[in-house]
Amino acid sequence: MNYRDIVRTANANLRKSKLRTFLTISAVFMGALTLMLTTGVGAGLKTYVDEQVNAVGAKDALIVTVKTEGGGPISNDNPKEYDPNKKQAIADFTRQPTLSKADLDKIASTQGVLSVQPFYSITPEYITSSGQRKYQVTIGQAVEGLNQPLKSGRLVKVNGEKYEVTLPPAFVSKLGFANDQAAVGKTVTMGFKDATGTIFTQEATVVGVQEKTLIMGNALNVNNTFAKAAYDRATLGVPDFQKDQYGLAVAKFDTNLSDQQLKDLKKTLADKGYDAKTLDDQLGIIRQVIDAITTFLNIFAVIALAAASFGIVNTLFMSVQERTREIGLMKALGMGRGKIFMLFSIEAVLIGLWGAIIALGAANILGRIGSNIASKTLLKDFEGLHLFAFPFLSMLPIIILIMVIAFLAATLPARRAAKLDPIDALRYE
Amino acid sequence: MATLIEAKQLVKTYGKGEGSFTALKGLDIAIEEGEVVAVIGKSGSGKSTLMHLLALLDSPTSGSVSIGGINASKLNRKKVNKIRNDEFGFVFQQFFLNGDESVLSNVVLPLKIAGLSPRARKKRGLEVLRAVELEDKAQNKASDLSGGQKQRVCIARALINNPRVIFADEPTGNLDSVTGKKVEDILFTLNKEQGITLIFVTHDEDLAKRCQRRIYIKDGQIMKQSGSSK
Repeated sequence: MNYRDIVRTANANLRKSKLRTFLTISAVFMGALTLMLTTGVGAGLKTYVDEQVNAVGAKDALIVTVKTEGGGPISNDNPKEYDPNKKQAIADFTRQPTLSKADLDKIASTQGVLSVQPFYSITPEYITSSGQRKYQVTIGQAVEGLNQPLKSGRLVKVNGEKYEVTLPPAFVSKLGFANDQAAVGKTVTMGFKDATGTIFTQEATVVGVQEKTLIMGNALNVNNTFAKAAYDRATLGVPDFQKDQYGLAVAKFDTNLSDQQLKDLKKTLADKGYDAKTLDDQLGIIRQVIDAITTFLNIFAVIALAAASFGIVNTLFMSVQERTREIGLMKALGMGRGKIFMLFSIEAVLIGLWGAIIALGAANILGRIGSNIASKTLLKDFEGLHLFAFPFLSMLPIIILIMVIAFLAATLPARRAAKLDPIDALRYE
Repeated sequence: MATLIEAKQLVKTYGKGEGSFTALKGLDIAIEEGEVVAVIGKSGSGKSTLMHLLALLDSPTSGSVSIGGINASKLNRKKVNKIRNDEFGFVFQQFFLNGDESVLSNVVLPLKIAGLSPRARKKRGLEVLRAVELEDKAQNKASDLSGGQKQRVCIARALINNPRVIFADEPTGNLDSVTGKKVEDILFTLNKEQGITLIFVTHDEDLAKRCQRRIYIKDGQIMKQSGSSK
């Protein structure tokens, strides 16, 4: 019997006992659907994180902070000797060790680093626009190559002449702008405290409205020019050694670096006492959490599939029993054991395939509905998040896995069929 | 005429130890090409066991079966399957038709097993159905046929691979005498016109009388033979 006939015959056998086939496929369907939905959630969340990272861009940026050793003087570790060259963790948790001008130079001189831009520690007291109330605000500082997704307008020019800012969507109406487009080109005012505690204001032009993202949240983005000016004014009169203190810096590296070279670069910086992470690294932890949750959920799905595979075993045993004489006849007429085995295992594989395909369709529909509901309720703060994603490439292995499980489930009954003695089988009543 | 099937010192024992049962006790038999042989015996005589061994459906405990001079016990399972598929035809008392399927697809089963294309199967299937005068029933469901028609379908199925020998195990056992006679006639005509060797296993004396040679089996041994191949 050739393979085409085997598949056809197996398919015909499935059609013969429709109800039984339907029930068995249903069991596989349930398991497959569960597995696809759980994988779909994982894929959806990961896609979201990836999109966020991609949207933000800045693949050539390392976020550099001071690497601290141990838990500082109050930790339970053994007391460490004082080393003037090493920074130590500060017992005061509200303050982190900072990068000095010398540190920046050191980072900049590291091979592979193209440029270093410090982040100025400026905290605005408020933001407002003419005739509006004052609101608290957090600011982020634009980095060259950082691609903040926008709803309208453009990105700030990082080192442009003018003071520029992009607004998070939540601030548009609060600051009295009719809509996103209307906000572009308007002026906002931010208030800062200087060294004496007096509030001074600095104006900036709104050049764009941001999309809300995982990474930026509700922080507004100012350009370097604005940040530096505000910082200089806020630290006016402060001695230089106190002024040149930066919480973190962004180091640009050569994008041509291989993964290994990047790793080496991070290590070199680590050896110099700095902690360097790409955005991707920082989001790694989120990915790990998603992976853990997905794996956990998948275990349940696999249990459901295991249960379904017993259904397949049962169905096929019944099928073998019912068709004992037919099998006997085929063997008497010269059909080999291998082909008989194949006939039944392909029957099972087809059950698996149908269950998986129907589940894929159902998962897509349910996923779409689920994503819609979730993005309107539970997850409405995460723009662009589709809770479920079913990329074919991640679904294909599931379909194959289910077919493999079905095949394995079939081995027992198919073996029994293959080993049937034709004489006994033909005598079977 | 050449010897088609030759069995030497056939012994077949079922089971082991005290509970064992020897169905055949050292039996020699030679069947010539084109012969019509009836193996006659009561149930439990060993006649069915003999047929199973000659048809290579089972292997003997000792002794040998040769087909066309080739010792079948030396062949692997695949080659034995091929011999059954290529050179043997089977007609059973209980028909063994798949009632849900069409007459045609029942008839072409051996060719499907052989791996022939659907087109070639259909062509040959209609040919053999014509030979048993059932061409017009080709698309009917097998379960819709009468007993005699069913057995004719079985003959068509046995015929489809142009076999050298047809094994018929009580082919008329489930049929009334008129229908049974008609089925026998078809088989004997095949022997006459196409030279196909026929081996009947039966306890029907009337059928046995129509055969060239009759081999009577009792208690696993040949009791007597009558008629001859010559």
